[in-house]
Amino acid sequence: MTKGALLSGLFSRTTVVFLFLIVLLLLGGSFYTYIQDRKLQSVSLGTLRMASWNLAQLGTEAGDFDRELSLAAKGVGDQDELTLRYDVLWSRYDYLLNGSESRATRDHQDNELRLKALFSQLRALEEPVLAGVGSGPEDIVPVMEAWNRQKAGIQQLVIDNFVGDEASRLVTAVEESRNRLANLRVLTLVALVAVFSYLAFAIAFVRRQSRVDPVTGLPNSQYLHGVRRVSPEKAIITCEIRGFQLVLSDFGTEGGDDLLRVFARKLRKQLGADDELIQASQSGFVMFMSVSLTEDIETIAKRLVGATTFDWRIKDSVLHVSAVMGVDPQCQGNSPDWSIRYQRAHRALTQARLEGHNYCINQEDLRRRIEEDRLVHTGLIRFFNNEPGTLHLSLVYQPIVSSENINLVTGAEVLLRCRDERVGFVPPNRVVDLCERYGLGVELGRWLFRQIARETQSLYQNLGFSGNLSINLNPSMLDDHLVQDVQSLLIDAGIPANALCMEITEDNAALEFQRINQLIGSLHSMGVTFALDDFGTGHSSLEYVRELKVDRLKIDRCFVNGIEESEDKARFLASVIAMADQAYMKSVIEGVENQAQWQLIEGIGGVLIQGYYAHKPMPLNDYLALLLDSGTCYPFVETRYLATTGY
Amino acid sequence: MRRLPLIFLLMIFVFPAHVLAAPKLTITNGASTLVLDRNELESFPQTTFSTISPYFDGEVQFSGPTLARVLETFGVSGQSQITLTALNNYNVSGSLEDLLSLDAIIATRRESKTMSVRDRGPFWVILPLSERPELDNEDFHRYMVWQLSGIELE
Repeated sequence: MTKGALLSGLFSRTTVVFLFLIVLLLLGGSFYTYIQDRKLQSVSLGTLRMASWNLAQLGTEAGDFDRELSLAAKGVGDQDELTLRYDVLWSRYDYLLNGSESRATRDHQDNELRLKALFSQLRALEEPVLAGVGSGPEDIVPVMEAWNRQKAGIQQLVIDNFVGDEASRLVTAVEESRNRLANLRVLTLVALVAVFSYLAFAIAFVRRQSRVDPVTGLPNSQYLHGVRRVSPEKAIITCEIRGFQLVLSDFGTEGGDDLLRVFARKLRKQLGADDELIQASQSGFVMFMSVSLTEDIETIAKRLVGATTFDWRIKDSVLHVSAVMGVDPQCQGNSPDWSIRYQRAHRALTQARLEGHNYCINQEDLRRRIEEDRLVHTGLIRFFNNEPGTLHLSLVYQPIVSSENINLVTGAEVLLRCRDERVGFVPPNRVVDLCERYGLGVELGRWLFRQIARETQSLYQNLGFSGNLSINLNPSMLDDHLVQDVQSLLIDAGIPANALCMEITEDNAALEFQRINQLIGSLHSMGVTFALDDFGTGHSSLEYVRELKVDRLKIDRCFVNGIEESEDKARFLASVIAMADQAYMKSVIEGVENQAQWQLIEGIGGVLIQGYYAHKPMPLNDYLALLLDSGTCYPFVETRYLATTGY
Repeated sequence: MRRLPLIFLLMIFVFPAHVLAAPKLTITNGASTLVLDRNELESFPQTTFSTISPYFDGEVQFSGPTLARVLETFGVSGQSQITLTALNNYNVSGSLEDLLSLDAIIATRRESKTMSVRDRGPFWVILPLSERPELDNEDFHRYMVWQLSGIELE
């Protein structure tokens, strides 16, 4: 018999009902005996007392009468007194035989019969006694004789009642009842001890049971609550199954439970004998792991991730399962409270999830990153609210030139610069990520639009410049409000629609392909163009690129790197450009950094170039200065240089 | 006719010797003593009530002066204990104040009839048990002395 079966037997309904009945029976028994005992006690003691009292009175009153009679016999009696004593004795018999109070005495054994006999004997004396003293002492003598016989009867009655068998029998009965009660008490006590032990055991069992997850059999959150200390030599690792809710909705609780069991087994295999695995939530686990000398924490994290990334087969489907983990590594020296370490592990997990990693280790850089994120996030909120703060956003412009003429500036890409006094320079993509993460994306986009309009509107209004402005759209801006935003913040502010080029990345565009294409269509009708940024580095297929209605391809620097050294690379770049050409898309080559690269691309021809070799990103004033430089030419409204701007 | 008053006198003298032998109630406080017979007790304002008792089945009517009234007439000054004594010398003591609070009467009649010694008379301390059920227990039953012959205050 297994332990589980034993326990379930022990706590089965039958056992509990059985025990309950036993206790009930014992309680009932005790109560019954108690009542019986009380009754016996009160009846017998009451009877004894009443009988004793009445008979003692009878004895006394008989004695009084006896004394008066003796005096009368000696000739010195008092008739009144004799009559009185006779009457008093008379009333005592009357009371004993008729009084309701004296029923107990009367009913005892044959008392009633004896009393009746004695009473009638007394009544027989009435006449001579009432005649009494006056009739002379000699007449009293026969009365005395008759009375003496009665007197003996009265004495016998008193003696029998006081010390007769019945009295001792009553006492014995009382004692027996006491013994019975005492025995029952011992029995009840034993039963109570047994029941108490059972209850204590049951409570311990329930407590233990409540600390174990019913599905995986692992210690659960209840257990986690009870954890007071974790050895500083152990790493605390939190782990979450990705998309578990999806599993639940697709495969139900049964499927979910099945996956949990498989997952927990895989995790358990990775742990040592004295490591702990706790199921902290439905799909979340916590591990306390010893870190050996041969394996660093990074390797352990990778090993765990590897072990928990698998294809799970259920019925006829296969599901790719993976987990995200947060690690608080073992501590050297002073270890903070375990709950703080647990929190850190949790934060690492959150960070991993946010950044799309499989795991994150709470180390100095992560802590710094988290702290920086916090600072930047706060700074951004203040900045957008126009509150004084340490963070400032600004714009720089990187001119885009023609491959035919390096002095022909066809436009510029607007780039975001972010500086925080405490953090320093923050890369633009990090700013965008943070804004997206914390719901500031639209604010960032709109600020960008406003700022661009503010800075460049005179360029278009006063200078007659008609070159391009390439603006990076963050994901939040790729929404229905974009059309309205572009209209009101840019076009209405004085930037010609056909100067605007919106840059989107493959990945962003691929997310909601249909809708993005509709957006592009709407803006196209206004004259706004689109560019596909970082072409060739995304995860989307060429099919998307083909279907996406963009006007330009911005070819990533990775296709430019090394073209001056490798003919293959150069040829590949050329073919990408050719492909774009064939698809009626203008190519913008990014990251052209040296003369050799420039010359190669110049050789290919017909493209736009953005790179350090031509121009680095520059503040507006420098950009203006560049345009106004006599050596620079740029598309002009009157001259309609539109052909070179993408049309 | 000259002897008539003598006969009367004799009759009066002899007859009461047997008739007036009925026991009397002696009230004493050590210093003074008051002896009352039934007539005297019945000259007090009478209280009549029917009550259950440990001695009879059902309610029985008793009448007589209240103990409080009798003691008031006798005069109570500074005594706190009372002892009731019966013809057979049975006696019961208690706090005077307590006993006065029980509305006890010194019954001289049961169902309007005088009580002989054989009927546990002539005087019987009766408590209104029907009216005051809280008195219906052994603690108070002991005050219900029959064949009452003496009251001693101290």
